[in-house]
Amino acid sequence: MYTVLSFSSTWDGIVIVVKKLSKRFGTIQVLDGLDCAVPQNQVVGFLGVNGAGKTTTMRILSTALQPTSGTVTIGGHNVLEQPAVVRGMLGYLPEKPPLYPQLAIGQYLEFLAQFRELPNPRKCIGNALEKVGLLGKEDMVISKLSKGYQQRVGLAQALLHSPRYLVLDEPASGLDPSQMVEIREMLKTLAEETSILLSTHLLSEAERMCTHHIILHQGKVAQSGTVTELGQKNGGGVLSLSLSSEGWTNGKLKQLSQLKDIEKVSLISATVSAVVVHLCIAQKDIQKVLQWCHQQGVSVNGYQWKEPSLEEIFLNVVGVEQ
Amino acid sequence: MSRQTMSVLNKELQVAFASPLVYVFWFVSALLVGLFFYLGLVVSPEPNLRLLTVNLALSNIVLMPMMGMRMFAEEEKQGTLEMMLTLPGSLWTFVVGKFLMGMLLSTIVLFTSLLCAFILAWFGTPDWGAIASALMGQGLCLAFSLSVAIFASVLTKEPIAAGLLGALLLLPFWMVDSIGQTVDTVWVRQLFQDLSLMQHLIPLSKGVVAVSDVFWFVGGTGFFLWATERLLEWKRCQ
Repeated sequence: MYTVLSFSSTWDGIVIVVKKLSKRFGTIQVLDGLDCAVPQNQVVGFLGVNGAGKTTTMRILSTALQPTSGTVTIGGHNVLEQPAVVRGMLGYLPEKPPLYPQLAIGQYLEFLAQFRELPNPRKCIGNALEKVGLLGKEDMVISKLSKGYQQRVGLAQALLHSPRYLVLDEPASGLDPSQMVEIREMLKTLAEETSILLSTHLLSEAERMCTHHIILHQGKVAQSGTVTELGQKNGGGVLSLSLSSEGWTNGKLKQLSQLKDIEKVSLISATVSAVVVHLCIAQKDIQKVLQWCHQQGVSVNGYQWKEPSLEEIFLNVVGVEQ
Repeated sequence: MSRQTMSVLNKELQVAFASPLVYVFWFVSALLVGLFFYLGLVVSPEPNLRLLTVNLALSNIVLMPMMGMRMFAEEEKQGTLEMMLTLPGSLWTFVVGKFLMGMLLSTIVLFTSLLCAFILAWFGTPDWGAIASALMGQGLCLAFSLSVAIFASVLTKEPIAAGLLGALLLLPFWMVDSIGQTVDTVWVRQLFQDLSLMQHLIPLSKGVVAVSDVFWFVGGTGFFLWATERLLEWKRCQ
Protein backbone atom coordinates (compact mmCIF):
# COMPACT_ATOMS: atom_id res chain seq x y z
CA MET A 1 0.00 0.00 0.00
CA TYR A 2 1.37 3.41 -0.89
CA THR A 3 1.39 6.26 1.50
CA VAL A 4 -0.72 8.23 -0.92
CA LEU A 5 -3.72 6.09 0.01
CA SER A 6 -3.72 7.65 3.41
CA PHE A 7 -3.71 11.14 1.91
CA SER A 8 -6.75 13.18 1.11
CA SER A 9 -8.77 12.01 -1.88
CA THR A 10 -9.36 15.53 -3.17
CA TRP A 11 -6.20 15.64 -5.29
CA ASP A 12 -6.40 15.86 -9.04
CA GLY A 13 -3.80 13.19 -9.54
CA ILE A 14 -0.55 11.74 -8.39
CA VAL A 15 2.48 12.92 -10.36
CA ILE A 16 5.42 11.49 -8.45
CA VAL A 17 5.21 7.87 -7.32
CA VAL A 18 7.95 6.17 -5.33
CA LYS A 19 7.67 2.41 -4.86
CA LYS A 20 9.75 0.24 -2.56
CA LEU A 21 12.75 2.50 -2.96
CA SER A 22 15.97 1.24 -1.39
CA LYS A 23 19.44 2.69 -1.37
CA ARG A 24 22.48 1.19 0.25
CA PHE A 25 25.85 2.91 0.59
CA GLY A 26 28.25 0.09 1.41
CA THR A 27 26.91 -1.43 4.60
CA ILE A 28 24.61 1.49 5.39
CA GLN A 29 20.98 1.09 4.39
CA VAL A 30 19.82 4.68 3.84
CA LEU A 31 16.46 3.94 2.24
CA ASP A 32 14.59 0.81 3.15
CA GLY A 33 11.59 0.16 0.91
CA LEU A 34 10.29 3.71 0.84
CA ASP A 35 6.80 4.22 -0.62
CA CYS A 36 5.40 7.68 -1.14
CA ALA A 37 3.69 9.93 -3.65
CA VAL A 38 3.31 13.58 -4.53
CA PRO A 39 0.03 14.94 -5.86
CA GLN A 40 -0.37 17.42 -8.69
CA ASN A 41 -0.03 21.13 -7.91
CA GLN A 42 0.59 20.68 -4.21
CA VAL A 43 3.49 21.64 -1.99
CA VAL A 44 4.53 18.52 -0.11
CA GLY A 45 6.94 18.72 2.82
CA PHE A 46 9.52 16.00 3.17
CA LEU A 47 10.42 15.85 6.83
CA GLY A 48 12.81 13.80 8.88
CA VAL A 49 15.77 13.96 11.20
CA ASN A 50 19.29 14.06 9.75
CA GLY A 51 20.07 10.74 8.11
CA ALA A 52 16.42 9.81 7.61
CA GLY A 53 16.97 9.60 3.84
CA LYS A 54 15.46 12.87 2.58
CA THR A 55 18.41 14.06 0.53
CA THR A 56 19.09 10.57 -0.86
CA THR A 57 15.47 10.28 -2.01
CA MET A 58 15.60 13.71 -3.60
CA ARG A 59 18.85 12.91 -5.38
CA ILE A 60 17.26 9.76 -6.79
CA LEU A 61 14.19 11.72 -7.90
CA SER A 62 16.42 14.23 -9.67
CA THR A 63 18.38 11.41 -11.41
CA ALA A 64 21.65 12.45 -9.73
CA LEU A 65 21.76 9.06 -8.03
CA GLN A 66 20.51 5.61 -8.88
CA PRO A 67 18.62 3.51 -6.35
CA THR A 68 19.71 0.04 -5.25
CA SER A 69 16.17 -1.16 -5.92
CA GLY A 70 12.66 0.17 -6.35
CA THR A 71 11.05 2.45 -8.88
CA VAL A 72 10.34 6.15 -9.20
CA THR A 73 8.01 7.61 -11.80
CA ILE A 74 7.66 11.32 -12.39
CA GLY A 75 4.83 12.44 -14.64
CA GLY A 76 4.47 8.83 -15.76
CA HIS A 77 8.16 8.52 -16.73
CA ASN A 78 10.45 6.10 -14.98
CA VAL A 79 13.58 7.92 -13.79
CA LEU A 80 15.80 4.95 -14.57
CA GLU A 81 14.38 4.20 -18.01
CA GLN A 82 13.72 7.75 -19.24
CA PRO A 83 16.12 9.98 -17.28
CA ALA A 84 16.48 12.50 -20.10
CA VAL A 85 12.70 13.13 -20.20
CA VAL A 86 12.57 13.48 -16.42
CA ARG A 87 15.52 15.91 -16.42
CA GLY A 88 13.73 18.08 -18.94
CA MET A 89 10.63 18.58 -16.82
CA LEU A 90 12.12 18.59 -13.33
CA GLY A 91 13.69 21.48 -11.48
CA TYR A 92 16.09 20.51 -8.72
CA LEU A 93 17.72 22.56 -6.00
CA PRO A 94 20.28 20.49 -4.10
CA GLU A 95 21.03 21.04 -0.42
CA LYS A 96 24.06 23.13 -1.40
CA PRO A 97 23.08 25.59 -4.18
CA PRO A 98 24.99 24.55 -7.32
CA LEU A 99 26.74 27.80 -8.22
CA TYR A 100 29.86 28.95 -10.04
CA PRO A 101 31.11 31.68 -7.69
CA GLN A 102 33.30 33.27 -10.39
CA LEU A 103 30.35 33.99 -12.69
CA ALA A 104 27.78 36.75 -12.61
CA ILE A 105 24.15 35.69 -12.06
CA GLY A 106 23.30 36.44 -15.72
CA GLN A 107 26.29 34.45 -17.06
CA TYR A 108 25.41 31.48 -14.88
CA LEU A 109 21.78 31.37 -15.94
CA GLU A 110 22.68 32.00 -19.57
CA PHE A 111 24.93 28.94 -19.53
CA LEU A 112 22.11 26.81 -18.15
CA ALA A 113 19.56 28.24 -20.58
CA GLN A 114 21.88 27.48 -23.50
CA PHE A 115 22.66 24.02 -22.19
CA ARG A 116 18.96 23.25 -21.79
CA GLU A 117 18.47 24.64 -25.31
CA LEU A 118 15.60 26.84 -24.18
CA PRO A 119 13.84 28.55 -27.10
CA ASN A 120 13.93 32.06 -25.60
CA PRO A 121 16.79 32.18 -23.08
CA ARG A 122 16.50 35.91 -22.28
CA LYS A 123 12.82 35.62 -21.45
CA CYS A 124 13.34 32.45 -19.37
CA ILE A 125 16.14 34.10 -17.38
CA GLY A 126 14.01 37.21 -16.82
CA ASN A 127 11.05 35.12 -15.62
CA ALA A 128 13.18 33.04 -13.25
CA LEU A 129 14.88 36.10 -11.79
CA GLU A 130 11.55 37.85 -11.35
CA LYS A 131 10.15 34.88 -9.45
CA VAL A 132 13.04 34.90 -6.97
CA GLY A 133 13.22 38.69 -6.73
CA LEU A 134 16.57 39.15 -8.45
CA LEU A 135 15.48 40.94 -11.60
CA GLY A 136 17.97 43.67 -12.49
CA LYS A 137 20.79 42.01 -10.55
CA GLU A 138 22.15 39.93 -13.46
CA ASP A 139 25.57 41.56 -13.31
CA MET A 140 26.23 40.75 -9.67
CA VAL A 141 29.02 38.21 -9.19
CA ILE A 142 27.79 35.14 -7.31
CA SER A 143 30.75 34.96 -4.89
CA LYS A 144 29.89 38.46 -3.65
CA LEU A 145 26.27 37.60 -2.80
CA SER A 146 24.96 36.86 0.69
CA LYS A 147 23.92 33.28 1.51
CA GLY A 148 20.26 34.17 1.12
CA TYR A 149 20.86 35.68 -2.33
CA GLN A 150 22.92 32.67 -3.37
CA GLN A 151 20.03 30.46 -2.30
CA ARG A 152 17.76 32.54 -4.55
CA VAL A 153 20.12 32.11 -7.50
CA GLY A 154 20.01 28.36 -6.82
CA LEU A 155 16.22 28.55 -6.90
CA ALA A 156 16.33 30.55 -10.13
CA GLN A 157 18.34 27.79 -11.85
CA ALA A 158 15.72 25.26 -10.73
CA LEU A 159 12.92 27.44 -12.15
CA LEU A 160 14.71 28.48 -15.34
CA HIS A 161 12.99 26.01 -17.68
CA SER A 162 9.56 26.40 -16.05
CA PRO A 163 9.53 22.81 -14.78
CA ARG A 164 6.32 20.95 -14.07
CA TYR A 165 7.89 19.32 -11.03
CA LEU A 166 10.16 20.86 -8.43
CA VAL A 167 12.36 19.04 -5.95
CA LEU A 168 13.84 21.44 -3.43
CA ASP A 169 16.27 20.32 -0.74
CA GLU A 170 16.22 22.85 2.09
CA PRO A 171 15.09 25.85 0.00
CA ALA A 172 14.68 28.03 3.10
CA SER A 173 18.23 27.42 4.29
CA GLY A 174 20.11 30.66 4.95
CA LEU A 175 17.13 32.91 4.37
CA ASP A 176 16.15 35.64 6.78
CA PRO A 177 12.54 35.83 8.06
CA SER A 178 11.42 38.33 5.40
CA GLN A 179 13.00 36.26 2.62
CA MET A 180 11.27 33.18 4.02
CA VAL A 181 7.91 34.92 3.72
CA GLU A 182 8.76 35.81 0.10
CA ILE A 183 9.80 32.23 -0.71
CA ARG A 184 6.66 30.90 0.93
CA GLU A 185 4.48 33.18 -1.18
CA MET A 186 6.49 32.30 -4.27
CA LEU A 187 6.01 28.56 -3.68
CA LYS A 188 2.29 29.05 -3.20
CA THR A 189 2.10 30.86 -6.53
CA LEU A 190 4.26 28.25 -8.23
CA ALA A 191 2.07 25.44 -6.90
CA GLU A 192 -0.74 26.69 -9.14
CA GLU A 193 1.03 25.01 -12.04
CA THR A 194 3.86 23.02 -10.44
CA SER A 195 4.03 20.04 -8.11
CA ILE A 196 6.59 20.68 -5.39
CA LEU A 197 8.40 18.37 -3.02
CA LEU A 198 10.57 20.17 -0.51
CA SER A 199 12.58 19.14 2.48
CA THR A 200 13.16 21.33 5.50
CA HIS A 201 14.10 21.18 9.14
CA LEU A 202 12.06 24.29 9.84
CA LEU A 203 8.81 22.64 10.88
CA SER A 204 6.94 25.86 11.50
CA GLU A 205 7.83 26.94 7.95
CA ALA A 206 6.83 23.53 6.58
CA GLU A 207 3.47 23.89 8.29
CA ARG A 208 2.94 27.24 6.58
CA MET A 209 4.37 26.34 3.18
CA CYS A 210 3.14 22.80 2.60
CA THR A 211 -0.30 21.42 2.12
CA HIS A 212 0.82 17.88 2.91
CA HIS A 213 3.71 16.26 4.72
CA ILE A 214 5.67 13.05 4.46
CA ILE A 215 7.58 12.15 7.61
CA LEU A 216 10.58 9.93 7.00
CA HIS A 217 12.17 7.84 9.70
CA GLN A 218 15.05 5.41 9.27
CA GLY A 219 14.66 5.23 5.51
CA LYS A 220 10.93 4.62 5.50
CA VAL A 221 7.80 6.74 5.46
CA ALA A 222 6.63 6.83 9.05
CA GLN A 223 3.46 8.86 8.39
CA SER A 224 2.01 11.20 5.82
CA GLY A 225 -0.97 13.48 5.27
CA THR A 226 -2.20 16.95 6.11
CA VAL A 227 -1.52 18.34 9.56
CA THR A 228 -5.10 17.48 10.57
CA GLU A 229 -4.77 13.93 9.25
CA LEU A 230 -1.42 13.49 10.95
CA GLY A 231 -2.88 14.89 14.15
CA GLN A 232 -5.67 12.34 14.08
CA LYS A 233 -3.18 9.54 13.53
CA ASN A 234 -1.27 10.71 16.56
CA GLY A 235 -4.13 10.72 19.03
CA GLY A 236 -5.74 13.95 17.91
CA GLY A 237 -5.13 17.25 19.65
CA VAL A 238 -4.75 18.20 23.24
CA LEU A 239 -7.83 18.85 25.35
CA SER A 240 -7.11 21.07 28.31
CA LEU A 241 -9.81 20.38 30.88
CA SER A 242 -10.33 22.60 33.91
CA LEU A 243 -12.34 20.74 36.54
CA SER A 244 -13.71 21.62 39.93
CA SER A 245 -11.73 19.83 42.63
CA GLU A 246 -15.02 19.02 44.34
CA GLY A 247 -15.73 15.38 43.61
CA TRP A 248 -12.28 14.81 42.08
CA THR A 249 -10.09 12.00 43.41
CA ASN A 250 -6.79 10.68 42.09
CA GLY A 251 -8.54 7.44 41.08
CA LYS A 252 -10.57 9.44 38.57
CA LEU A 253 -7.40 10.13 36.57
CA LYS A 254 -6.90 6.41 36.02
CA GLN A 255 -10.54 5.94 35.10
CA LEU A 256 -10.28 8.78 32.62
CA SER A 257 -7.23 7.27 30.95
CA GLN A 258 -9.11 3.99 30.54
CA LEU A 259 -11.82 5.64 28.46
CA LYS A 260 -11.90 4.52 24.81
CA ASP A 261 -10.06 6.70 22.23
CA ILE A 262 -8.02 8.57 24.82
CA GLU A 263 -4.30 8.26 24.08
CA LYS A 264 -2.74 9.95 27.08
CA VAL A 265 -3.89 11.73 30.24
CA SER A 266 -1.70 14.04 32.31
CA LEU A 267 -2.44 15.91 35.48
CA ILE A 268 -1.11 19.40 34.95
CA SER A 269 -2.08 21.09 38.23
CA ALA A 270 -4.23 20.43 41.26
CA THR A 271 -5.18 23.16 43.73
CA VAL A 272 -7.79 23.31 46.48
CA SER A 273 -10.37 24.70 44.09
CA ALA A 274 -9.45 23.40 40.62
CA VAL A 275 -7.77 20.58 38.73
CA VAL A 276 -6.30 20.91 35.23
CA VAL A 277 -5.94 17.78 33.14
CA HIS A 278 -4.54 17.39 29.59
CA LEU A 279 -5.84 14.62 27.35
CA CYS A 280 -4.64 13.56 23.92
CA ILE A 281 -7.87 13.17 22.07
CA ALA A 282 -9.58 13.71 18.72
CA GLN A 283 -11.97 16.66 18.47
CA LYS A 284 -14.93 14.34 17.90
CA ASP A 285 -14.40 12.63 21.27
CA ILE A 286 -14.61 15.77 23.42
CA GLN A 287 -18.30 15.24 24.09
CA LYS A 288 -17.59 11.76 25.37
CA VAL A 289 -15.22 13.15 28.02
CA LEU A 290 -17.62 15.90 29.07
CA GLN A 291 -20.35 13.29 29.44
CA TRP A 292 -18.09 11.15 31.61
CA CYS A 293 -17.35 14.12 33.87
CA HIS A 294 -21.06 14.75 34.24
CA GLN A 295 -21.69 11.08 35.11
CA GLN A 296 -18.88 11.14 37.70
CA GLY A 297 -20.23 14.28 39.33
CA VAL A 298 -17.18 16.37 38.45
CA SER A 299 -18.16 19.80 37.25
CA VAL A 300 -16.27 21.22 34.27
CA ASN A 301 -15.17 24.83 34.71
CA GLY A 302 -13.98 25.12 31.14
CA TYR A 303 -12.14 23.35 28.32
CA GLN A 304 -10.02 24.15 25.28
CA TRP A 305 -9.04 21.87 22.42
CA LYS A 306 -5.88 22.57 20.45
CA GLU A 307 -4.85 20.89 17.20
CA PRO A 308 -1.27 19.61 17.55
CA SER A 309 1.45 21.52 15.74
CA LEU A 310 3.50 19.81 13.06
CA GLU A 311 6.44 19.96 15.44
CA GLU A 312 4.53 18.05 18.12
CA ILE A 313 3.39 15.48 15.56
CA PHE A 314 6.91 15.14 14.16
CA LEU A 315 8.46 14.61 17.57
CA ASN A 316 5.78 12.07 18.40
CA VAL A 317 6.34 10.18 15.14
CA VAL A 318 10.12 10.04 15.29
CA GLY A 319 9.96 9.09 18.95
CA VAL A 320 11.64 12.07 20.57
CA GLU A 321 10.40 12.97 24.01
CA GLN A 322 9.17 16.55 24.34
CA MET B 1 29.96 20.83 -32.19
CA SER B 2 26.61 20.75 -30.41
CA ARG B 3 25.09 23.82 -28.77
CA GLN B 4 25.40 22.11 -25.40
CA THR B 5 29.13 21.53 -25.84
CA MET B 6 29.51 25.15 -26.97
CA SER B 7 27.70 26.36 -23.86
CA VAL B 8 29.99 24.27 -21.63
CA LEU B 9 33.07 25.56 -23.48
CA ASN B 10 31.86 29.14 -23.13
CA LYS B 11 31.17 28.73 -19.43
CA GLU B 12 34.52 27.02 -18.83
CA LEU B 13 36.33 29.90 -20.50
CA GLN B 14 34.43 32.44 -18.38
CA VAL B 15 35.28 30.54 -15.20
CA ALA B 16 38.92 30.03 -16.26
CA PHE B 17 39.54 33.70 -17.06
CA ALA B 18 38.07 34.69 -13.71
CA SER B 19 40.99 32.89 -12.07
CA PRO B 20 44.69 33.90 -12.18
CA LEU B 21 45.61 30.27 -12.91
CA VAL B 22 45.26 30.78 -16.68
CA TYR B 23 47.66 33.68 -16.70
CA VAL B 24 50.16 31.79 -14.53
CA PHE B 25 49.85 28.82 -16.90
CA TRP B 26 50.43 31.02 -19.95
CA PHE B 27 53.38 32.78 -18.37
CA VAL B 28 55.09 29.55 -17.25
CA SER B 29 54.39 27.86 -20.62
CA ALA B 30 55.83 30.75 -22.64
CA LEU B 31 58.84 30.90 -20.33
CA LEU B 32 59.49 27.17 -20.66
CA VAL B 33 59.16 27.23 -24.46
CA GLY B 34 61.68 30.08 -24.66
CA LEU B 35 64.04 28.37 -22.26
CA PHE B 36 63.88 24.97 -23.96
CA PHE B 37 64.30 26.59 -27.39
CA TYR B 38 67.39 28.45 -26.27
CA LEU B 39 68.91 25.41 -24.50
CA GLY B 40 68.11 23.24 -27.54
CA LEU B 41 70.03 25.62 -29.78
CA VAL B 42 72.98 25.69 -27.39
CA VAL B 43 73.17 21.87 -27.16
CA SER B 44 72.44 21.14 -30.82
CA PRO B 45 72.39 24.12 -33.20
CA GLU B 46 69.99 22.59 -35.78
CA PRO B 47 67.11 24.48 -37.42
CA ASN B 48 64.32 22.28 -35.99
CA LEU B 49 62.08 21.94 -32.91
CA ARG B 50 63.17 18.41 -31.97
CA LEU B 51 64.66 19.11 -28.52
CA LEU B 52 62.02 21.71 -27.71
CA THR B 53 59.23 19.18 -28.41
CA VAL B 54 60.83 16.44 -26.33
CA ASN B 55 61.54 18.75 -23.39
CA LEU B 56 58.04 20.21 -23.50
CA ALA B 57 56.63 16.69 -23.19
CA LEU B 58 58.40 16.42 -19.86
CA SER B 59 57.07 19.77 -18.66
CA ASN B 60 53.57 18.60 -19.55
CA ILE B 61 53.76 16.26 -16.57
CA VAL B 62 53.46 19.34 -14.37
CA LEU B 63 51.71 21.87 -16.61
CA MET B 64 48.75 19.86 -17.81
CA PRO B 65 47.68 18.56 -14.38
CA MET B 66 47.84 22.21 -13.29
CA MET B 67 45.45 23.03 -16.12
CA GLY B 68 43.09 20.09 -15.58
CA MET B 69 43.11 19.70 -11.82
CA ARG B 70 40.10 21.95 -11.22
CA MET B 71 37.94 20.72 -14.04
CA PHE B 72 35.78 18.14 -12.25
CA ALA B 73 37.29 18.23 -8.75
CA GLU B 74 36.13 21.83 -8.32
CA GLU B 75 32.69 20.98 -9.72
CA GLU B 76 32.29 18.28 -7.08
CA LYS B 77 33.63 20.51 -4.33
CA GLN B 78 31.24 23.39 -5.07
CA GLY B 79 28.23 21.10 -5.62
CA THR B 80 27.79 21.81 -9.34
CA LEU B 81 28.62 18.22 -10.31
CA GLU B 82 25.29 17.15 -8.82
CA MET B 83 23.51 19.70 -11.00
CA MET B 84 25.52 18.50 -13.98
CA LEU B 85 24.23 14.97 -13.42
CA THR B 86 20.64 16.22 -13.46
CA LEU B 87 20.80 18.30 -16.63
CA PRO B 88 19.30 16.91 -19.83
CA GLY B 89 22.18 16.01 -22.07
CA SER B 90 25.03 13.57 -22.24
CA LEU B 91 27.91 13.77 -19.80
CA TRP B 92 30.10 13.72 -22.91
CA THR B 93 29.16 17.34 -23.53
CA PHE B 94 30.85 18.30 -20.24
CA VAL B 95 33.90 16.12 -20.85
CA VAL B 96 34.38 17.39 -24.41
CA GLY B 97 33.60 21.01 -23.46
CA LYS B 98 36.20 21.00 -20.70
CA PHE B 99 38.74 19.22 -22.91
CA LEU B 100 38.28 21.81 -25.66
CA MET B 101 38.70 24.63 -23.16
CA GLY B 102 41.97 23.07 -21.96
CA MET B 103 43.19 22.66 -25.53
CA LEU B 104 42.25 26.23 -26.43
CA LEU B 105 44.22 27.60 -23.49
CA SER B 106 47.13 25.28 -24.29
CA THR B 107 47.51 26.70 -27.79
CA ILE B 108 49.85 29.23 -26.17
CA VAL B 109 52.47 26.46 -26.21
CA LEU B 110 52.00 25.85 -29.94
CA PHE B 111 51.86 29.58 -30.65
CA THR B 112 55.15 30.32 -28.88
CA SER B 113 56.73 27.24 -30.52
CA LEU B 114 55.65 28.63 -33.87
CA LEU B 115 57.34 31.92 -32.99
CA CYS B 116 60.50 29.90 -32.31
CA ALA B 117 60.17 28.35 -35.78
CA PHE B 118 59.97 31.86 -37.30
CA ILE B 119 63.14 32.80 -35.43
CA LEU B 120 64.82 29.72 -36.94
CA ALA B 121 63.60 30.77 -40.39
CA TRP B 122 65.04 34.24 -39.81
CA PHE B 123 68.52 32.89 -39.19
CA GLY B 124 68.49 29.67 -41.24
CA THR B 125 66.48 27.41 -43.50
CA PRO B 126 64.42 25.02 -41.40
CA ASP B 127 62.61 21.98 -42.79
CA TRP B 128 59.02 23.19 -42.53
CA GLY B 129 57.75 19.61 -42.85
CA ALA B 130 59.70 18.62 -39.75
CA ILE B 131 58.53 21.78 -37.96
CA ALA B 132 54.90 20.96 -38.77
CA SER B 133 55.40 17.38 -37.61
CA ALA B 134 56.99 18.56 -34.35
CA LEU B 135 54.12 20.99 -33.75
CA MET B 136 51.67 18.17 -34.41
CA GLY B 137 53.57 16.04 -31.90
CA GLN B 138 53.36 18.85 -29.34
CA GLY B 139 49.62 19.20 -29.92
CA LEU B 140 49.02 15.45 -29.63
CA CYS B 141 51.15 15.28 -26.50
CA LEU B 142 49.23 18.19 -24.96
CA ALA B 143 45.91 16.50 -25.76
CA PHE B 144 47.02 13.21 -24.24
CA SER B 145 48.41 14.85 -21.07
CA LEU B 146 45.27 16.97 -20.70
CA SER B 147 42.98 13.94 -21.01
CA VAL B 148 44.94 12.18 -18.24
CA ALA B 149 44.72 15.33 -16.07
CA ILE B 150 40.94 15.55 -16.64
CA PHE B 151 40.58 11.88 -15.72
CA ALA B 152 42.53 12.52 -12.51
CA SER B 153 40.23 15.41 -11.63
CA VAL B 154 37.23 13.04 -11.47
CA LEU B 155 39.00 10.82 -8.98
CA THR B 156 38.94 13.34 -6.13
CA LYS B 157 37.16 16.53 -5.13
CA GLU B 158 40.36 18.22 -3.98
CA PRO B 159 41.91 20.13 -6.90
CA ILE B 160 45.44 19.97 -5.48
CA ALA B 161 45.15 16.23 -4.95
CA ALA B 162 43.78 15.92 -8.50
CA GLY B 163 46.80 17.80 -9.83
CA LEU B 164 49.25 15.56 -8.01
CA LEU B 165 47.32 12.48 -9.10
CA GLY B 166 47.43 13.68 -12.70
CA ALA B 167 51.22 14.11 -12.54
CA LEU B 168 51.51 10.68 -10.96
CA LEU B 169 49.44 9.10 -13.73
CA LEU B 170 51.48 10.82 -16.44
CA LEU B 171 54.87 9.95 -15.02
CA PRO B 172 54.82 6.22 -15.96
CA PHE B 173 54.18 7.08 -19.64
CA TRP B 174 57.43 9.01 -19.59
CA MET B 175 59.45 6.58 -17.46
CA VAL B 176 58.24 3.27 -18.84
CA ASP B 177 60.77 3.34 -21.66
CA SER B 178 63.73 3.62 -19.28
CA ILE B 179 62.30 0.84 -17.11
CA GLY B 180 61.83 -1.32 -20.22
CA GLN B 181 65.52 -1.07 -21.05
CA THR B 182 66.39 -2.82 -17.79
CA VAL B 183 64.18 -5.83 -18.63
CA ASP B 184 65.74 -8.82 -20.45
CA THR B 185 62.53 -10.41 -21.75
CA VAL B 186 62.04 -9.15 -25.30
CA TRP B 187 58.25 -9.02 -25.40
CA VAL B 188 58.08 -7.18 -22.04
CA ARG B 189 60.65 -4.68 -23.29
CA GLN B 190 58.60 -4.25 -26.47
CA LEU B 191 55.42 -3.76 -24.43
CA PHE B 192 57.11 -1.10 -22.31
CA GLN B 193 58.35 0.65 -25.43
CA ASP B 194 54.86 0.58 -26.93
CA LEU B 195 53.46 2.20 -23.79
CA SER B 196 56.15 4.85 -23.77
CA LEU B 197 55.08 8.36 -24.73
CA MET B 198 58.60 9.26 -25.82
CA GLN B 199 58.86 6.34 -28.21
CA HIS B 200 55.92 7.81 -30.13
CA LEU B 201 56.84 11.46 -29.77
CA ILE B 202 60.51 11.37 -30.81
CA PRO B 203 59.78 10.29 -34.43
CA LEU B 204 57.21 13.10 -34.71
CA SER B 205 59.69 15.62 -33.32
CA LYS B 206 62.13 14.60 -36.06
CA GLY B 207 59.57 14.94 -38.82
CA VAL B 208 58.73 11.24 -39.19
CA VAL B 209 54.95 10.91 -39.15
CA ALA B 210 53.82 7.32 -38.58
CA VAL B 211 50.13 6.48 -38.38
CA SER B 212 50.82 4.20 -35.40
CA ASP B 213 52.36 7.09 -33.44
CA VAL B 214 49.46 9.43 -34.21
CA PHE B 215 47.01 6.66 -33.33
CA TRP B 216 48.80 6.09 -29.99
CA PHE B 217 48.15 9.71 -28.96
CA VAL B 218 44.64 9.93 -30.41
CA GLY B 219 43.68 6.53 -28.97
CA GLY B 220 45.18 7.35 -25.58
CA THR B 221 43.40 10.70 -25.43
CA GLY B 222 40.12 9.06 -26.45
CA PHE B 223 40.57 6.33 -23.86
CA PHE B 224 41.10 8.73 -20.95
CA LEU B 225 38.19 10.95 -22.01
CA TRP B 226 36.00 7.86 -22.29
CA ALA B 227 37.19 6.70 -18.84
CA THR B 228 36.30 10.15 -17.46
CA GLU B 229 32.75 9.93 -18.81
CA ARG B 230 32.38 6.37 -17.47
CA LEU B 231 33.62 7.43 -14.05
CA LEU B 232 31.11 10.28 -13.94
CA GLU B 233 28.32 7.87 -14.86
CA TRP B 234 29.59 5.48 -12.20
CA LYS B 235 29.33 8.25 -9.60
CA ARG B 236 25.62 8.43 -10.38
CA CYS B 237 25.27 4.72 -9.56
CA GLN B 238 27.09 4.99 -6.24
